[in-house]
Amino acid sequence: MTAAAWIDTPRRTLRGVFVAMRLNVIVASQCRVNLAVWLVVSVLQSIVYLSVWQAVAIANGGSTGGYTPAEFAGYFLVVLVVQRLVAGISIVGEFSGYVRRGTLSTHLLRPLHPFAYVFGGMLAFNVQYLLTLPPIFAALFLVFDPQMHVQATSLAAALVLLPLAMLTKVMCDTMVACTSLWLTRIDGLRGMYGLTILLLGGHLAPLPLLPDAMQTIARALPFYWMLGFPTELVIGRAQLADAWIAVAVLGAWSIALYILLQPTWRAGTRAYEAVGT
Amino acid sequence: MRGMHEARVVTAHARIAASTELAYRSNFWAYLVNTVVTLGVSIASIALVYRHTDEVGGWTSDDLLVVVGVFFALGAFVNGVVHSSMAKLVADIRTGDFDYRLLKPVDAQAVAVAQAPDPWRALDLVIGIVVIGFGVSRGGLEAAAGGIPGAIGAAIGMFACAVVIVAAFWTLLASITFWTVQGEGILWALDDMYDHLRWPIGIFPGGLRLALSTIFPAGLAVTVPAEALTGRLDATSVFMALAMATALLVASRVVWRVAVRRYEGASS
Repeated sequence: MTAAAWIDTPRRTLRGVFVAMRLNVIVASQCRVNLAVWLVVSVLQSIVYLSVWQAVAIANGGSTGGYTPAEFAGYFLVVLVVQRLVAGISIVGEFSGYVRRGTLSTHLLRPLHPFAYVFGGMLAFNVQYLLTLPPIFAALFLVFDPQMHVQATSLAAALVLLPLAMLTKVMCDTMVACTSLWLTRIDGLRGMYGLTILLLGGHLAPLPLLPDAMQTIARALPFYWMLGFPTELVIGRAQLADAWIAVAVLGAWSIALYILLQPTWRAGTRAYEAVGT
Repeated sequence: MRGMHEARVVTAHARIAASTELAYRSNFWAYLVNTVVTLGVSIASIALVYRHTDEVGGWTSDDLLVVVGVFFALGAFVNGVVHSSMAKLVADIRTGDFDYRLLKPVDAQAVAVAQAPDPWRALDLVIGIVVIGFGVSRGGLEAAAGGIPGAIGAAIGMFACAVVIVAAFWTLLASITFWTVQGEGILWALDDMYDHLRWPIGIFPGGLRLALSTIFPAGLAVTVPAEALTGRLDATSVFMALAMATALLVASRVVWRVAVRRYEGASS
């Protein structure tokens, strides 16, 4: 590849992502009710786990795993935002749908990588979702009266960490999505992937509440570092020095997945049968 | 008799859809993996919570197993009948194929609710019944009003209410597609939310309990059969379940009729 091509390809891809994003914003603006339903659902999900852990803390006399009900409220309200920022862009379902229906064939003929198109669409949805989140977060803040120990440096570190967390999530999603090129239907795998993130990422419970063995596994995988750790940084539960571990873990996973994705995509597109089901 | 005619047509549609789905036998393994993992995570999340306490809102870990069992059994209907059928309805509205449905001499709503069942999801029903049996055998039902037969009878009645609640609620929201044309996102959101309802609504604070009984009534639908099977069912829960089932049935019918009158055929 020439030097000009090295510059031109990412530029063209980026332009394609923005075009896909703009297109999806226009389509989504015509059916805003979808966004409203998603908002209600994601808020309810976070409150479900928050309420479970608050009930456990109350049953234990006011604290569980070092978290009081107000501190659980702080954790789960921040995890709601982090989860939407990082894990909201889920390309597995969309891409596997293309493979299942056989419409990936059309995308393969376009001068834009199919994943770039899917990513643009998901990004569009997330941007709209995040624009509506502040008033909802403010309302939940007033209702649950959360307790957090926010420090400017930790908050800044969490904000810096988030783009890397998003990148790692996209790499993980892309790898899981690629399996559909062989398996066509990946409902089971997709379910397993989502539940792993739920359990080990910190969405179901803060990491210190998990058994030791699960904590060890969670620290070796990228999901805790992309969801639970930034949340703990914001609420003042994590050490600022550990942010370097997060950068190392997420960076290593991103690079490894990127390298692995190159032959996987090439082999996958050869295995793709374009039949649809 | 008109109802019998509808039932025969729905059965025929279901048989054709089931035959199509059964042709993809490898899907059985995909669903088996999904079910086993979902069950594993459900049990792991219960174990995680009960590592820190013996009871949550008066519910023991054995009682929570019953809730998980109901979640699976009702999930078989939600994912195996309602979601797949609604996904077809939404696609038909988008492509304009719904025109042909309206031309047929049969109630279009009755067919829409059960037109594309996924037989592999029966696996969830089997798993659900096994988990319920395990939870009940550990928790005991002797204290329930009417004894074990009374509790099982009440649970079957409440499960029927739960089925009506989820079918009517899913239909109600899928009907939005008649206005927006795009409805897949709504179905995904509903499925996503259902996946998190492995807890009885009784353990939640008042506002959330109300939200999971009205705004997203699948929470109530999962809870009431479990209450019957753990000897907790009271008159308030029975009234709530019956009232929501009736209200949603009427609302989904009214909205459907308005929506169909508005439908212009999106095919091009």
